[in-house]
Amino acid sequence: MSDPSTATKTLTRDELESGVCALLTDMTSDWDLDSTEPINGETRLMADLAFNSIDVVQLVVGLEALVQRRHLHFEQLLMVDGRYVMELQVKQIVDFLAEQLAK
Amino acid sequence: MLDAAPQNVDTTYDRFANDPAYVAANEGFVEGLPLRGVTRILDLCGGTGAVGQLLLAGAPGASLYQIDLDPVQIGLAAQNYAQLGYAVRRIDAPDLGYAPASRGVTLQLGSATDLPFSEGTFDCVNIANAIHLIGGKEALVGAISRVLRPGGIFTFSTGFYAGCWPPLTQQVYYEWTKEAMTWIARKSAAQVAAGGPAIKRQRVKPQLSEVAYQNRWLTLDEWRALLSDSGLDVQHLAERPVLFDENSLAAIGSYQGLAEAQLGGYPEGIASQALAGTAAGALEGAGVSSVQHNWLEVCAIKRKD
Repeated sequence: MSDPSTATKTLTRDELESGVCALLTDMTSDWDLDSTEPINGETRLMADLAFNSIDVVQLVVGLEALVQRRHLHFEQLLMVDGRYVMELQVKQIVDFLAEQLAK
Repeated sequence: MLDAAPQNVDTTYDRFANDPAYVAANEGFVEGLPLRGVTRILDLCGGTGAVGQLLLAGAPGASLYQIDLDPVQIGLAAQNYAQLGYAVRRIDAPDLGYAPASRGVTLQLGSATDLPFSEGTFDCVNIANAIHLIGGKEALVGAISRVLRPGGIFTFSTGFYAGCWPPLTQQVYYEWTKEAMTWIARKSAAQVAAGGPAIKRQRVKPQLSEVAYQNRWLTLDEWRALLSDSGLDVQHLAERPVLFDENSLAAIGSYQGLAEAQLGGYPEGIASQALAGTAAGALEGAGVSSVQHNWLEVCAIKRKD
């Protein structure tokens, strides 16, 4: 059995964005949201998808499964100056993943 | 590993109420309270009676009136107090004609925000590790002040306030939640592979976590100001560092109230199993054997105007 921490998928930025959007679409498919717009790079987690803190953690777990890497430093994305960010866009997540996977 | 988690866990607060680190923290808190002369105690959100028993031990001969929303906790409290020899009475609505009796314990099912008692009914009002669950704190503290006699004391402890989690603790708790969610995802996949249903998280409005986790936690100065504005002079306000090891975390993780707050929307029992079963791994992943969780302890005296 391969070690999930080392068996990282090689994904382009477009593939990452596509994967993140698909993950979010699946997560939110049965949510009662005001917006019916397809999820894309500009989508905001809190304002458009009404994310709460538990949703964010669930998303992180899904993202780690997507890229087959664990213990990515999501706190660098989720926290600024010791406080949780109030908003996050899909493209920020994609940029973060691309940067982390390139290391 | 799925089999790392217990298949059946005690989801009541009783397991954590008996955790050595939590018990020691509660004992330390109550030991410092000026309970001499107290004869009428109101214990809000009293749960299993773990702290109420300490208050009664510190005020021999006093009576205690406990209010709690959860009938399961009330039932456990009834057993615990009866075993200690107290005369226990259970009621489902506020007793407006409450007549305190020495070594009598009244257990009322209800909300801590519903206090229709006469002014000055109690010498001591206590809330142990639950004030963070109550919204509208100005109204709550105002109501508590009203039912306290002048010179009476309002005491509370809480593990949820601004500064309660040092950075490492916050990191461990975050990783713990992730580990628990991963555990549930694996369990779900295993169930599906065996021809069973997937474990789906229902996105529901949480009952407790909305207040406990999404309301801004007050700073120490904000607590001082809030109490003073309600006619309560702070006599003691301090932080107590409490170290939680894997057993402590597993105990509180199995509590349904925390499971709902940490993993709201997952089926009842599954979230408790997941948190209880992944506590050790979360600590191990951070390379520590325990985390420091700070407790705020407060004792304020009702001003004599």
